[in-house]
Amino acid sequence: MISFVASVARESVTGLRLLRRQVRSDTRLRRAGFYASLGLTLLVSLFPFYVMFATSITTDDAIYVNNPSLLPREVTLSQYAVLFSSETFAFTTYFVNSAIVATVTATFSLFVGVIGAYSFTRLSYPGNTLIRRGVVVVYMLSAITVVVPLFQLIARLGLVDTRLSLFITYTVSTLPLTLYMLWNYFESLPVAIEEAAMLDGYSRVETIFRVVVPLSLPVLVATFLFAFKIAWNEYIFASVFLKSQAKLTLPIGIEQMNADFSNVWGQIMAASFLTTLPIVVMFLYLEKYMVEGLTAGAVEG
Amino acid sequence: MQEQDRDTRSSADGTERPHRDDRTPTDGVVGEAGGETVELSSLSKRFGDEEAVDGVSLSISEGELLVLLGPSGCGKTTTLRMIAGLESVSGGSVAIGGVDVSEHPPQDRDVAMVFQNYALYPHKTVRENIRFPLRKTDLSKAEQRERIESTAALLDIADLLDKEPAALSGGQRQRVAIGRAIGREPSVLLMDEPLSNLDAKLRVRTRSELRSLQQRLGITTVYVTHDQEEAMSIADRIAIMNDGRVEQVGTPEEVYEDPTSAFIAGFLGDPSMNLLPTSVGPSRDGDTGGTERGDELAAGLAAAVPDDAARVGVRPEDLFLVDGSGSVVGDGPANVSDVYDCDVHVVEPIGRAYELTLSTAAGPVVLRARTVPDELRGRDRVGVVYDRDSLYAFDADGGRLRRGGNGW
Repeated sequence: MISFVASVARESVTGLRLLRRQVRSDTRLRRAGFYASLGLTLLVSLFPFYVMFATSITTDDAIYVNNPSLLPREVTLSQYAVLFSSETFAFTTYFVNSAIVATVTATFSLFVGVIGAYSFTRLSYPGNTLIRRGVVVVYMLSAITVVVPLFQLIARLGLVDTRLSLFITYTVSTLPLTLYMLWNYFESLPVAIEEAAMLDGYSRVETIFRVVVPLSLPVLVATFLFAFKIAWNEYIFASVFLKSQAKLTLPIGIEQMNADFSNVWGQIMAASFLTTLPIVVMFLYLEKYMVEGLTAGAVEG
Repeated sequence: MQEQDRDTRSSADGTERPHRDDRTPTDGVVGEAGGETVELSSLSKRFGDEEAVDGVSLSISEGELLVLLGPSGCGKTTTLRMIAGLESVSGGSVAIGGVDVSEHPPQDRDVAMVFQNYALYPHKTVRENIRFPLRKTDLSKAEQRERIESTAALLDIADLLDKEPAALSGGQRQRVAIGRAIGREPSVLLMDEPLSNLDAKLRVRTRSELRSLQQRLGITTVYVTHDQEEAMSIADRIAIMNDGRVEQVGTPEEVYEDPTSAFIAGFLGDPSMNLLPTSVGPSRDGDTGGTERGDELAAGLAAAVPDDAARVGVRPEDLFLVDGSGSVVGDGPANVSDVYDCDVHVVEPIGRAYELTLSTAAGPVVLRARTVPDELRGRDRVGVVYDRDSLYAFDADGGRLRRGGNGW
């Protein structure tokens, strides 16, 4: 009897220990899984960037060897030098074009977005909900599906090969995102602050620009960045609407470089790196404005 | 619009101001700011099918402080917002200084508002918060600076001018909100439960400060609250709202002593009036009040009011304890009733007085006594009398039944 009890006790103790070890190995497994997925994510997102950068500072000879190395043995800036001195490849022009298009688009999209999103959240008018939903639906459409009808429209308007065609189409295609981000934020702003401004003698439009906009600075910066990034990287519309070299934007320019010249991977990667750089720099610089809690102290309770 | 307002105001200065004249004279600031009359005529607001405000008519004189008092959902805040122009008017009109402003946007009405949650501009310092409305006036930069300084001094927030709202305490934010509202000397000041976010002690102190400030500046003020004590302490007149309508308007004394309905009687006072159904206790046939000792209090009260009364009301302070010798404790009323024995349910010492909850056939009744004699302490049955001159009777619809020349 006693031995039976003892054996049961021993068994249950071993069982417990087993169970505990199970738990421990489970957490170890989970941690391993976490690091594995983290590593994979970093690899997929950063490795191309690294290869791009590494290739751009490698000499042509080293790029086309049979066993390419991950680390450039010899560092050179010649690829960049060629980019800026080449007469056939107008990198600077493309860069300026992209900058103009992206800045104008993001600014305009932000301006329209502020007014539109404000009207969604603060004004009641027939069709408000319908338009709101419409905006989200438009965002779901992919660019390739609308490019042909859009081209017909642009052609009809006589805007083929103009920057205006990009301003219009980019603004329209970034607006859903802009509106969505802004209206979500505006909904979180206490209405009483705006009412206070109106009672303090300010019209609704003045209230938007003197109270709502300053309070929305973080989200305005974020929205501007997103819209800028979309316009900066856009390829399909630009490739369809533009013809002349002088107006091409960077993505098209780089693609053309690939098509027109052979064995220029070093320069392509240098151009790609320079294309990516402004977005990264802008993000790092503007990130400090994207702080939260701007409305702290506004309303009680 | 600004110019026009100023003209009407200066002409109004010449006219008689009955209201302000009964006040004690203060330090001469009165008259500089001044206020406008506010006239609401059958003002209504519908949200869909719901009638939030239903034909409110009120006339507020210059420099008066009118409190809109009522339970939540009675339409008092909606009424205030319609005066402000933040809510459109479904019917009736709002006139400020004799001008119908029902269709004017808020910024053209020359009204200022203190919000329940203060609604300060969080991205501006206190100084900029107070300056913000001044920029819309025709004051010069120097005058604006001067006005900010004097407003800050008035509210004792001069040392906070360079801070941001986030760094302030609730009470300080509240002062800044008031400063922003009165800085530009509006015709009408609207306050939407301005003290409800303060703690109890600060609330009592701030409300008396608000009152004296309002009297000094003489700004016509509409003040919304659900706190009857706050309303009584601050108001020139109280308009009690219920279910979208104004039930009674009058001075705090009037509405407290002479309520026109059971709703008002039950809403005012802390603890509020005891309202008991008359359909209780023994048959009252042929009984003209005055029952023998030991009878039920509720039945006795019911018997003391006319037959068509559905409810009888008595305030806790109009009920008195009777000591062992049969005499009334403290200063008894002139017209004392018979003595009723009641079970004591709870005794709450509240500092300056005691509140006794008595059990009666018609439910609990609260009695307030300045003192409780030692001999009555710990007893679970006490003798109680009421003041026969201070009974209220209400009909089945809650309307007040008034006393005739001799008795009911």
